[in-house]
Amino acid sequence: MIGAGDPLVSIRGLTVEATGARGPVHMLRGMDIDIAPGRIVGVVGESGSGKSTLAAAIIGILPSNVTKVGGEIRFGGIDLLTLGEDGKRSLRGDRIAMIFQDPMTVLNPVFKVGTQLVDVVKRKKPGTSRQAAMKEAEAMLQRVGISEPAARLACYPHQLSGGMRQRVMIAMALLTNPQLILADEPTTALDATVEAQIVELFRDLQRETSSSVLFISHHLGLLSEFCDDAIVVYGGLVMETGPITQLIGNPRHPYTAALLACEIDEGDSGEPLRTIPGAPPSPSAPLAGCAFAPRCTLVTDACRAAPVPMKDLGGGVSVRCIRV
Amino acid sequence: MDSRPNEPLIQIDKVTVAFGNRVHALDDVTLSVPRGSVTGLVGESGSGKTTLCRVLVALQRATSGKVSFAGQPLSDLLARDTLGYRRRVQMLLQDAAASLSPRMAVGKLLAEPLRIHRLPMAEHWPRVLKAFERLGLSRELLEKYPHQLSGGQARRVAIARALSLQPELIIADEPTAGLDLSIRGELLNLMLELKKEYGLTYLIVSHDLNVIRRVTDHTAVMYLGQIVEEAATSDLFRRPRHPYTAALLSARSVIDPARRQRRIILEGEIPSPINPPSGCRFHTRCPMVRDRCRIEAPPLVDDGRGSFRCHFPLTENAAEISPQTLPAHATGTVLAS
Amino acid sequence: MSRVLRSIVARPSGAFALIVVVTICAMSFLAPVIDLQLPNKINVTQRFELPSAAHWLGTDHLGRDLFSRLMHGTTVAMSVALSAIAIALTLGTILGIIAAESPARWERPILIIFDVIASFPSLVLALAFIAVLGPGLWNVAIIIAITLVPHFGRVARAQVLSVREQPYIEAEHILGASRSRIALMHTLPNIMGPLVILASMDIPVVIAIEAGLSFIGLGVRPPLASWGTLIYDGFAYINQSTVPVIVSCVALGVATLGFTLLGEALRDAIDPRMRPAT
Repeated sequence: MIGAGDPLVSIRGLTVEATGARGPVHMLRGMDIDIAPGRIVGVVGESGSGKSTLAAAIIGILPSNVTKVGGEIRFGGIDLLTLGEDGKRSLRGDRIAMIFQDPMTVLNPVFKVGTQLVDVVKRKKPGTSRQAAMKEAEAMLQRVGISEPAARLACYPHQLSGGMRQRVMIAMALLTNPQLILADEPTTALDATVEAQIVELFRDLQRETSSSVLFISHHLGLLSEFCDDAIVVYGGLVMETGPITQLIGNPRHPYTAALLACEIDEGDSGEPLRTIPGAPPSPSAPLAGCAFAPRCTLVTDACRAAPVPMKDLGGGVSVRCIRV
Repeated sequence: MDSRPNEPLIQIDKVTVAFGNRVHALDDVTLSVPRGSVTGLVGESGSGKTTLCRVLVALQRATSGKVSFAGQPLSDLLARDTLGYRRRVQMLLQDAAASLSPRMAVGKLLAEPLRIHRLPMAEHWPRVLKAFERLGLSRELLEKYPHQLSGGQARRVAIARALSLQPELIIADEPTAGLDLSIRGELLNLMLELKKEYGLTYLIVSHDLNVIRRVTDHTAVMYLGQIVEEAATSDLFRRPRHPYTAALLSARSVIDPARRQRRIILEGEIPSPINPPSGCRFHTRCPMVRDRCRIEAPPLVDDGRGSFRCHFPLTENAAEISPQTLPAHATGTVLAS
Repeated sequence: MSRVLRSIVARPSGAFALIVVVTICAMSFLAPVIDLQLPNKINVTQRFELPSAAHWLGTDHLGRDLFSRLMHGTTVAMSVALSAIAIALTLGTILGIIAAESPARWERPILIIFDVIASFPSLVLALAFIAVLGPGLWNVAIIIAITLVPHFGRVARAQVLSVREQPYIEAEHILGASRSRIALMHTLPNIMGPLVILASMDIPVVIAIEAGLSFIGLGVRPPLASWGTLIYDGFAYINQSTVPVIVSCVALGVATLGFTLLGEALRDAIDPRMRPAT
């Protein structure tokens, strides 16, 4: 059992290595992450930073070219990396759920929404009657903000709009009453107004359920609206982590600051937009020093010399920068 | 080619596009795009933005209404010289990587417009190469195939290809969707620089309101096949008149909690154009709906500061849509952040 | 081209297939040229000889050299297969593109013709045609081609229909490309992948049909050697010697396998989307 102060998920030294055409590809280079029960944790980073790999590693769906996985992912006392295929599968349907960018990765186009939701209920609670399961599914659709839930249950996924499908997928995840929900850019493909609805939904969920959520996005502004904590990843490493208000109000890592500067919700039209010159590190090259050193405006020789350790600044904030 | 500053490059007048008898993808759309401006087009999917763009690039014929380009009717221009019109108006498709023919190397893709328009290579290729390098692309990329490009590179190649025809108007459909923040910034900066260097006019379609706010001069807001509001971008963002605009603006992400507006969450989604709501098309989702809205369709009103299509336009700012001022029968919910 | 070759050879099955196919092609080209043992030279004193230095694969019931006959059989099989496939591929692709790109009044008759031809099994249809036209090498090739046209035509049409919706086709329209240019420069290259794999996988089918027709005496006429006639002769005298039937069946089997594997390797090699991103 986990105690009150213990994290739900505790990841230590997680490395993921794949074999590419030109040698090893370092997708994750040693991540340490804690997710407390009931918290919404945002993961932000550019493409190739390893944010999606992180979720895939937790839920055990890493791509087939991955050859080496190191470190540990402790979830309620078990190391997920040591679990067999069966163990992972039972966790997936029960205690960990995942929400994807494209709902059709989860929804089967040839079955009605109701059938698929009922299946989820029955898998979770064998012996439930079809009618009771249908009731439960209907209530859940209502809860994720779908109007006329009974009618929607009789629909096939293609008869629903994108936003509605996203809600159905979220309902499907919630039906298992998971302890951890992994959400990989679930709003990226949606309209701004629908995105706002989904964000609102997550905010409600945070109040109503005890589930922890790991919400992956490349958009810090979005995360700032509903997350409790945030993790900034870069080059397969955690650069900064802490309460989101801290991270946004007082970014300690130059990369976090640079990401914030790229947000364009303020500033006047006509003035050039801020960018981060350079490109993220190639995952196939080894890192000598700080991953961000080549693009950092505050770089020193020491940054390039040796890997930078994570430093705990107290108050839940940790930063991987030699300057703090 | 004259370049009087405020002469509209594109004038769209009461344009309707109907598929069959019932589906009106565009309904009575009037919009003008001043030469040398950056005009933004926003709205949810299904609002008709794409159809409007397709009309402008002559992939879709307007059922009724009139489109003029540089003062001449589009139908005349197309009848006389379709290829000539295509040289003047180019479009960047939303999925840039998929808009590049997959079996052609980048070099061949760039030469393709010259071949189509029978422009002599010797004369034009150096110019195309110069634009290619101006876009920050190295010559090694000329040998690569589209699937080998990164998202940012694919977009630059698509821009280089459009520029090779020396167009006057570039329509960009979601030019930054799916890009990392830093790359989004680089691309938009580049597009704005190119506008000056090449004397371009842009029509930018985006659902990223922060992008629209930062790069456009004018913004038109579309809903269910109609333009519901149009104004100078700064005015529109400061004082939206249409409740839909206000809701859309409130949905944009703002990092600083102190600056965050009340968020107006619209219930449901955009209705189907097959059977649009009676009266004002937005009345089913409008937080301020009144009886008149359900019956009488509001006309497009131009008050000198812009135009809008609403019986009861907002007067001060979006904050007036608050729980207190909401009529009891409002279908939308309002939540403070 | 060298890149395609390299990626085919990179996998064991591809390398094997390539060796088989190159050998078969070499045999079919070389057979008429280096005719050491005349394939039709009868020597009744040397019937059913086992493989030896003089006769590498032994001799048949008339004492003819089996290796030489097998080589000539390869020539026949390859000429029929390649010409039939080439005709069917060309005709099918053209009809498929026309069907997909033209209005319904053109599309419908083409599809009806496809359906009518395809509703008969190839072999039965071939039998019917040969009954009318008479047996013979080229008749066989043409008849097999006709039976295969719907096969390619339908795939070509389906491919065009899906490719037509791709953004790059819309982009070409916006650039001003004409319909014929789009069909030739953008649609065609992007539908060829599946058609080429289909073609290379149909080669063994054609070889088998030709062998089957020859086996029942409606294909290549004796004394011309074909794999079908070789198998037929082998079966007729299976009690005297099993060597001829084994040799000819193995040849047919290896050729079928080789072309099928090559088809798969080719598909993966020529589709740039399958190539690793660099």
